[in-house]
Amino acid sequence: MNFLHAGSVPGMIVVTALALAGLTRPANAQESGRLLATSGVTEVEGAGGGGLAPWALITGYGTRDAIGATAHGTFVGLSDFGLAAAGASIGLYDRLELSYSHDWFDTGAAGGRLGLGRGYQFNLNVAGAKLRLVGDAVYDQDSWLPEISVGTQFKAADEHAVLKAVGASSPDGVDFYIAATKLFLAESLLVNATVRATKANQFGLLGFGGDRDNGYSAEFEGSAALLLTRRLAVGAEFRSKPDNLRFAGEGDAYDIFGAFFLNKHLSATLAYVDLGRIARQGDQRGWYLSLQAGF
Amino acid sequence: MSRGNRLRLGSPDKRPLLRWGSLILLAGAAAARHGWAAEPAPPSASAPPSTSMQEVVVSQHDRAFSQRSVQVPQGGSIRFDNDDDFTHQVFVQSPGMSYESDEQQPGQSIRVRFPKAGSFDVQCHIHPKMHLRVIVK
Amino acid sequence: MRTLLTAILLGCTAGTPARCANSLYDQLGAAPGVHRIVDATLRRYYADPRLHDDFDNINQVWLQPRFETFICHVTDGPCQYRGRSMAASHRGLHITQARFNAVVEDLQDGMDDAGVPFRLQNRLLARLAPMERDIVTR
Repeated sequence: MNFLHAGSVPGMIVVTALALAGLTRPANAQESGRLLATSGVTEVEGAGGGGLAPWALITGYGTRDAIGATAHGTFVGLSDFGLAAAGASIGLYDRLELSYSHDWFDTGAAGGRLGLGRGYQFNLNVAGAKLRLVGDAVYDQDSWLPEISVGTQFKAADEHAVLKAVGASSPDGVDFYIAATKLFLAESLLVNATVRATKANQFGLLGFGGDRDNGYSAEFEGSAALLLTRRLAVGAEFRSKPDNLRFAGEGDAYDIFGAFFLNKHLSATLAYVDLGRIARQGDQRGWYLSLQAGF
Repeated sequence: MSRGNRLRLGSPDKRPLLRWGSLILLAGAAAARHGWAAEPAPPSASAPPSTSMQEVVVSQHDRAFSQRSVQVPQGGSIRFDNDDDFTHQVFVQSPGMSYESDEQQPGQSIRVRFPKAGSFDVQCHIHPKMHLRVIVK
Repeated sequence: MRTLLTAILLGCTAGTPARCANSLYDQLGAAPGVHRIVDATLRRYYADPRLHDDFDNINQVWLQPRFETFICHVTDGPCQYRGRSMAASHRGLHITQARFNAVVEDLQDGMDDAGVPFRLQNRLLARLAPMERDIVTR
């Protein structure tokens, strides 16, 4: 896996800048209105949530009267591939979230095996929007009602010729999802369930739709996190994925994670992920590290 | 009912006075209630008709008195109207006068009589920045 | 409703009163524990620049016993809270969500000062969180 590939350098710069931004802020600068750790982190497509799934929570620490912004940088080192993501998002009045993420998929040595060339890279742009419909995960402790949001992600992949060759129907696509998040504060437990309508192959990196299946499928994503201290949460996630391409089967993704919230300006998530089979190289497992800075 | 201007009241530090004042008030509370200080008005009723022609009305609003100072003739009284969203209370701790009222809910009025001449500081036990200088002549 | 479920799961129903002794109030240390929490928390409120406008004109001597009684009451302690509702007593302060959250953070810090374990802190916060909609008016 080679992250010195030209496309990854901007990503590394973004992540370093974020880390510096987070670390140079005084640890007790409490300008942001929301409670620590109550906005989740950023998932691979740029939406606020866990690592693999968007949650109903609106990103950032802005309260109902304010706007909060976050930026993220993520690295995933898998058995045969590397995945990176960088982007930013804005949470408006705890009601609307707008996000952008650029994802890189580095085929490393497998690129050679696939006939693409060693270190062949796929890119994916994701623009997302999420709207909170009802509920407040933190304050509604006296009700069973979760916080519920609906969202959409507009995704565009490159390497159109290769996508066509592997059987993808289109290089762009749109995902729709509905997420419900509930914080059981008395139990220090957060749970989330997301249902997504998608045609995306490997999150969209390998295009949309395929020669095996070209319709939308309903996929399920679930997260559970235990708050251990004010700054530390551990948990697990699951994400099912479509299997649209005849060229290579695609499986479900899992992770177990630890998220550390240094302050409202910096958080880090470390996870062990299994993204399932990718491009006939077998089960892709490895470490996931994400940094998120809030403003 | 007259409403004075709402003034932001600057206050001298009365904390040592408050500590002593609390002791004196606790000792003298019963005496003060049965003595020459007035009783609080019933909760829902408006204040009963004034027993004196010379009654000054002061409003409690925004956790402050409506006036910084007020003049009352000797033997006259002040009616405190709670026009605020908060519970208030009225006490006086000065040489020559010691008085402490019950808690005063929003909408309640309290009448305090000033039988002795002099200068007195009326305060609220709940809101320490509230001060009303009463000059009794 | 969740309290009922927990009660059933713990076997803590009307038939087995002995096991019900462990209320949240007891777990927080009963009267001395609540006093420690409120004492540490008020110290923080009065020193917090974000809350200056709220606390600079309220007498701590007056507030503290009422706050302790209120905490006792919401944690199923043997106290009768005779004060006004959260909505009525905070209406005139025009509390924003940010100031409410500052109060919660200072309470978390106060509970840290008083040695309350994190997960137990969250049990108290869970009782207080629903009051946000009554207290925050801006």
